Amino acid sequence: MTLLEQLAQYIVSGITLGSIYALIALGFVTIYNVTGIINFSQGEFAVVGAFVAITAAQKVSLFRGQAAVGLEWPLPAAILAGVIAAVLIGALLYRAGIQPARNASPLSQIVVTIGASIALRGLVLLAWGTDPYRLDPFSAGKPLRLLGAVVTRQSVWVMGLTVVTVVGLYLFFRFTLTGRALRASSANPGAARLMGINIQRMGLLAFVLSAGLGALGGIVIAPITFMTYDRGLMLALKGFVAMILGGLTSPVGAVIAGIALGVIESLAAGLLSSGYKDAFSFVVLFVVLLVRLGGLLGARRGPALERAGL
Amino acid sequence: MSDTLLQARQIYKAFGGVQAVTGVDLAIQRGEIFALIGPNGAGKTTTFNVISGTHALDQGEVIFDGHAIHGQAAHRIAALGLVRTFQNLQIFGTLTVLENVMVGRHMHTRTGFVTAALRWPGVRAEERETRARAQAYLKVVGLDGRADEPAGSLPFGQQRLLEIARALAAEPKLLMLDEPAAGLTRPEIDALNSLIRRIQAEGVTIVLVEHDMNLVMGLANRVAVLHYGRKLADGTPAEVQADERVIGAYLGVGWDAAPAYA
Amino acid sequence: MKSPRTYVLIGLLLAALTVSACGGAPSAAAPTSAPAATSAPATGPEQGEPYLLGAFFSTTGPASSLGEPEANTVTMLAEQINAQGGVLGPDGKLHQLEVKMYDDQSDATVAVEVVKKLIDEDKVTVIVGGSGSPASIAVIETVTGASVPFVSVASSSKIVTKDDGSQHQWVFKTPQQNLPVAQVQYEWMAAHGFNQIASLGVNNAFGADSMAALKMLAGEEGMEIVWEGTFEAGDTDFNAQLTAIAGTPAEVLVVHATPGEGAPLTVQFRDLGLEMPIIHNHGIGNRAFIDTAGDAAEGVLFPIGKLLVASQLPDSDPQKATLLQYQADYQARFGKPPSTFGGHAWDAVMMVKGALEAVGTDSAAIRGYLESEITNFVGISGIFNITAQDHTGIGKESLVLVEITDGDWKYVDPAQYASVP
Repeated sequence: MTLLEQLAQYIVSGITLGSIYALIALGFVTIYNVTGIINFSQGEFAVVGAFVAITAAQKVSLFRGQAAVGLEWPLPAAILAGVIAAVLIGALLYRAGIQPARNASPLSQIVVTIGASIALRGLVLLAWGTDPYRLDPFSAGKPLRLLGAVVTRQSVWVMGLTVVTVVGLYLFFRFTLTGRALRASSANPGAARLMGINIQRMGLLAFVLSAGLGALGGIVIAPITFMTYDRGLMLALKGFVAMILGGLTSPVGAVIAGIALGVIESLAAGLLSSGYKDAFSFVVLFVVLLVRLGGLLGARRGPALERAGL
Repeated sequence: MSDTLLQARQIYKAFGGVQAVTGVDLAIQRGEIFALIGPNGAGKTTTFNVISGTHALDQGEVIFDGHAIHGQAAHRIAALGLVRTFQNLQIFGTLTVLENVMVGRHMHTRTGFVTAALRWPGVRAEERETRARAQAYLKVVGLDGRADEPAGSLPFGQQRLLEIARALAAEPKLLMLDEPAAGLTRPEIDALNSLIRRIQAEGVTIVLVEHDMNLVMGLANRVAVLHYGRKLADGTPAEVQADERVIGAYLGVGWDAAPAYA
Repeated sequence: MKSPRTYVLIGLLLAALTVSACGGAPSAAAPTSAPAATSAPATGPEQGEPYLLGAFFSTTGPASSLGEPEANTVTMLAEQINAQGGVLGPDGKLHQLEVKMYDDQSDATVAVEVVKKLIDEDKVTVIVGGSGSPASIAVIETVTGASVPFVSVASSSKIVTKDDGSQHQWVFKTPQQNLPVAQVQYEWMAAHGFNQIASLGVNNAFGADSMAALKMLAGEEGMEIVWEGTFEAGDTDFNAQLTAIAGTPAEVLVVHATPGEGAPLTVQFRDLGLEMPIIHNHGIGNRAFIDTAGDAAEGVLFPIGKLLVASQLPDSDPQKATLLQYQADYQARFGKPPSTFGGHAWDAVMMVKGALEAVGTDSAAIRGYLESEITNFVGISGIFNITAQDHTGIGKESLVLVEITDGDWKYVDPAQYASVP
């Protein structure tokens, strides 16, 4: 490969990985905007979604070989199963963990999400163990070439699904009554309640949406990076960094920042030092936090929630 | 059927050690414009917040259209037909002007997430109808020309009109306006005056808290005067203006000077 | 006043913590002891006090794919020995072998704690275990301080060799060194006429040791490492490193990893369409690699102990009988084939058994036996000749080159190196 082809390759690989960060970050932003909570079990949605999809699609043995599962459903059904499983967990987390604590401080509620993520990780470990699992690529065939860079079919799926999801979300938020109610709830929760919008329902919807987004991300990347029980934490941290880089409350910002983060990581690992890929994201986060620490802390607890008397 | 739309009995509300509202009784009749007035700190905004369900009350009860609404969730009170605006505006700044009003129609739309997924044609039809109705309400307040602008970019006076349009879109039985004239220019206040009359003419009961005495005395059918958290008097504007206690409370100062207390 | 909601919240958190604690690892507090056989044989030597064997493995956590077969093997051997009456000690009595076994949770800190417990509370006089190189390295100081011999089942040369090249007095290990692994890799490369190498390894003791061995021998083998890089344990995306390698004149990629990273790395290597061959080290020698890497594993080469391909070995191989016996026993006991890692534990236990038979339970005597009496010991990982200068005692003759073909391991005869992959 020439240097130019290598650069193209870094960017393609970065966009692929960044697409997943973008989906996770979108989940973060959605929940944060509606409920004011940073949901640290966001990465676990990706893990659970991927594991359920893998279990539905392939022969898998669970509980240290105690249970053999050979559903071998067609891929779309398996993906749907993974997404539904994560959505149910998201709903359960909201109903059983967040809603009962709705009068507690956002910090307490965030602690609930951390607890949930530890619990989920433990359950996944019990069921699937520590081995990495791989979902078969969605479509077989030779990789494509773009400016000398290799674009695997799965990368195309990752980018395609991310685009479709982001566009779909945009249409949902823009052109449906429920989507608009969600936006209204995030713009001004107090006023939204006075318009007859049930904020608790909107919170539930936000968790459900985010869980679905996370699961989709986890499932679509599983053929490339595999899935292990402990991936959730790193995915959540990357998504969190993307959320902050993207301006905390902006879905568009989260998507752009997620993809940019993937590209930065890929370029840094390829051109600077390969061993410390993850470190670069956190250096970026550190710098951003330093630069706009005040703005960050004051951002959203401020106007909307205060005005609404929350 | 009673002609009383909202009945507040012996309501009390304290903040910390400060008793903001003490044993206030109010009865608001269907179809009237009812104003709460009093010097700053008299407890009128607190009274307003308590009877609209924004704040929980400490004691007493609030009956709206036959339902006890004290302690109810805000979205349930709204669903019963009681909608309010805020002195410091509570619009959805990141939504467009039209979308703000469409959100106001929320409780008259029926699509939940499940039906939305199952009945796509019905959803589309409802979306279309909501959009058309919202346009109509924008026309009522004269904002139809700015429908697609972000609500946050409107000048202050128009944001206030938008908030009223959004409240009207909810088709309330009782519309509660919190200092609707605050921050408006004279011509804007005149326009507001006629807008409120038109809303009354549509059969909507209106409660307002207002400093602008010219506006209040010209508009209101009945007025309640609050002083140090207690109701001093109520009646028609003429009765209240003639009331000795009221004049005493305002230290003999003429009505026109009252805003000087602000 | 606490509302019911507060209690729900607290309950949820407690539940979360409990579940995670259970999922993470059972508490290290309680050792699992292999039961001593209840009835001694009616005839034969007199029954003496049980002999204690300390053991610790990573039966949970990231290294559990290593620790589980190791712990299983120790359990199985203790059962076999005790079923025959026990260890015939120098006192002429039979002693049941009582194993005190702990889980180090793949955590070097926990490993040090359980080794202290083995020495101070359980009063064991010899220890086997340490699934991961980090755990084994971490306990060197503890066992040395207590003068208790320790036979490690992990591979890093740092476990037995000090920086000055001398051996840690109380520590031995059964897996082959990385140096002979590199020697086999270079023999295969020489057969192909390669001399430019890219080397990519995991950034921990295991990877660093293996990379260092490759680098150390490069000069004398006439090879040049044109690109060297690392990734972190737990990494899942290797496209950046592989892309960088694609821009070098490397003729072959040498990978130093375990299946967790080795499998996705190999898949991404194939996806990128790199045409050079890929050779791993012994770290990927378990089924998990083939299962998860799938088609991408085809054609992958790696040097490893002979167990994986025991049945394919020529009958002249002196280890073949021992290997097949262990395979059959393990399969019968646990219903699945053993892994190379289990073999390392087999070697450790059987060496210690020899020591107990010869010298009894005295720590210093056991150490002396291990250092001077292990000669031509036919084990699973190789034929051992331990000396004071070499506490591992096996060389490249103990290794074979294996190719993954049709989803299985295939023994590659040294004469055929030039024709694989």
